Amino acid sequence: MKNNIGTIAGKEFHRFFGDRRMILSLIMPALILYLMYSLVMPRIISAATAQSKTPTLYTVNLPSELKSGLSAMKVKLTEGSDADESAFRQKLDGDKDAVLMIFPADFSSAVKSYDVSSGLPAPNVEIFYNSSSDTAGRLFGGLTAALDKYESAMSNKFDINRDINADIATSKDTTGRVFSMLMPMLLMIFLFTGCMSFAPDSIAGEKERGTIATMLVTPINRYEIVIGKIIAFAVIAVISGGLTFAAVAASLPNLVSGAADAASKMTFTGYGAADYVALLFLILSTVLLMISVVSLMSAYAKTTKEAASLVMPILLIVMLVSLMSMQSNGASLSTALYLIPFYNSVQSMIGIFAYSYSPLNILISVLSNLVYSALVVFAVTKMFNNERAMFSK
Amino acid sequence: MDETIVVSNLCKCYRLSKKQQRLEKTKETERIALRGLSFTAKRGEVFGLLGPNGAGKTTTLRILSTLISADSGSASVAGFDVVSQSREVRERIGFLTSELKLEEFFTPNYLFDFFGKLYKVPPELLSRRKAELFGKFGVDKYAEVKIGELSSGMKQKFSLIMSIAHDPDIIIFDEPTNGLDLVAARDVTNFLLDQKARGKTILLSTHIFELAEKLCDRVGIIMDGTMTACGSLPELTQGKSLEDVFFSLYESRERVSE
Repeated sequence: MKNNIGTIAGKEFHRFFGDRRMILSLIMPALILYLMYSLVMPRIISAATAQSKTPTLYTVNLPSELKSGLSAMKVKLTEGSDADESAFRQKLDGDKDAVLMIFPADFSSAVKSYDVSSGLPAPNVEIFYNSSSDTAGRLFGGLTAALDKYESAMSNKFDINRDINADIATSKDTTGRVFSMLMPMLLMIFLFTGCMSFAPDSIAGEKERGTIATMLVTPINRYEIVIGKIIAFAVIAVISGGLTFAAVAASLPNLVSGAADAASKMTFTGYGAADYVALLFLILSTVLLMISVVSLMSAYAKTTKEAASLVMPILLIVMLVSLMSMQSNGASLSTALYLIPFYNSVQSMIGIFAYSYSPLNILISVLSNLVYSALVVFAVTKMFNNERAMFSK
Repeated sequence: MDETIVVSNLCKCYRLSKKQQRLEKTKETERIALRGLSFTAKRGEVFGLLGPNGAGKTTTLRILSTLISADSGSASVAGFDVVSQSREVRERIGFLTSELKLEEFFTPNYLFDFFGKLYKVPPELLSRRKAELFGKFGVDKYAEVKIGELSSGMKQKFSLIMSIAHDPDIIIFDEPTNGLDLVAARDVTNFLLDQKARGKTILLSTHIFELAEKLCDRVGIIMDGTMTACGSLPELTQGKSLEDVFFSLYESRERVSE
């Protein structure tokens, strides 16, 4: 029996790895993702930043105590008095990235003498900008924040976290948080698409081309054909998913750097051997279930095209379940939930990546995946024994 | 002589899919392929199944090769039941039909080894057999060419070679010379004569009367899923040609059905 399964799996490997196009289809997504996330995207972002125009900030009656703060901002500062206001307004109409800031002539003294309890209107600063320009919008946001800070400083009674780094999150916490949000989703989707890339053609395609019948008249059992094929597909899907996963994991810090300080703290070194072993078993059992389901659909379908359309709803379910990881705040604690196919894998992955998994829940996920896979493989074998499924036109 | 192939009262009905109903412009949901077909083929003889398209020849051969099962009746090959002992049956037969195709990506060399392994042929014997068969059919130089790049006649030759990689005692061929040019068809005929001389049991279906006359010890004429006539060539023809006998049976059946 082992020999026959090995012979069938060997044929599938020979088919896959003997074809340069197939190997390219295995490597290319990972390579493209890595290059895109690591090299292209950061360059695009930095190029976009470098090319952005320095906006002009026109000020009327700018108080001296605010000048140094505004000069530190990346702006071309143009100062003026009440007499310049109308000229500045005209310039603002011709430059949508520019911002005009008008202070009352006696702004500093008015602010100092203003009594909140008097009920009189507070000194007013007018800031004009064109909201259709991102540059002007960003500058407007920066200016209001700077003025808020100035206002707070004037009535300062106490500070929060002055001169200390109060965030006690370790590198492990940050990695766990970010990876548990992203990796389960990416892994599940890449593994499933890896399963979809080869199995439909190898089962439904062989039915369509009449090559599977040639194997069915040899003295091997139908389940040996099914298991041999599934083992080969699973190995290919794990390689495909693993490569893509590695590419994403390696390029993720580069991609998010600049967008978040957390990126500098992210590293895979925080995961221990036990975490990797748990992840490996989980991935293997998940891939086995995925490939079994794809094989079942392919055995039912008459053509590769039909198989692909039958598999699509399953992919959508996997994507939907995987998206939950984006919203998660740690893995689910209810053991019963780890019996739900695909959902259990996502929850277990969240737990592993967030360093907060229960070994029992991982074990339940792996075992239930294996049981479901065995049931689906049994159904695929039944399908291979069904002449209507195998030979109907 | 032992009865190597025994077919008893086989019935088979196919459900027509919506697509088939549409293509054939019929509202029938079922089609009867076999209506109690019975015959036997003895060890070492060549038994030919003759019949028009849709008579049930291919269905019979597919049941005997265990690809599909009958609705009722029984069949055995080399003493093994085709349903309950299907694996034993498959070990002993070489089956060829136009439905069975070889994967276009692989070379004949690889596929011969692949099928040889599935038939549990020892590696040394497999190499010898490969050299012998590839030489006999004159296809050595195509051994490393992918199936997809071969002509249809060459593909048919390789399909035949793969089906007998394990040197089976019973050969079941459905229209073995279909799609072959004259030279290739002669090679196949000579090969079957050679197998007959080696004492193999051969069951073949064909449309070609000359082939049946040249090869067959006995012939069964199937029409509409039943055995219309069966016997040795002299018994059936009684001095006439096989073609005349066939058409006289066919026309009388047509008259009855009208």
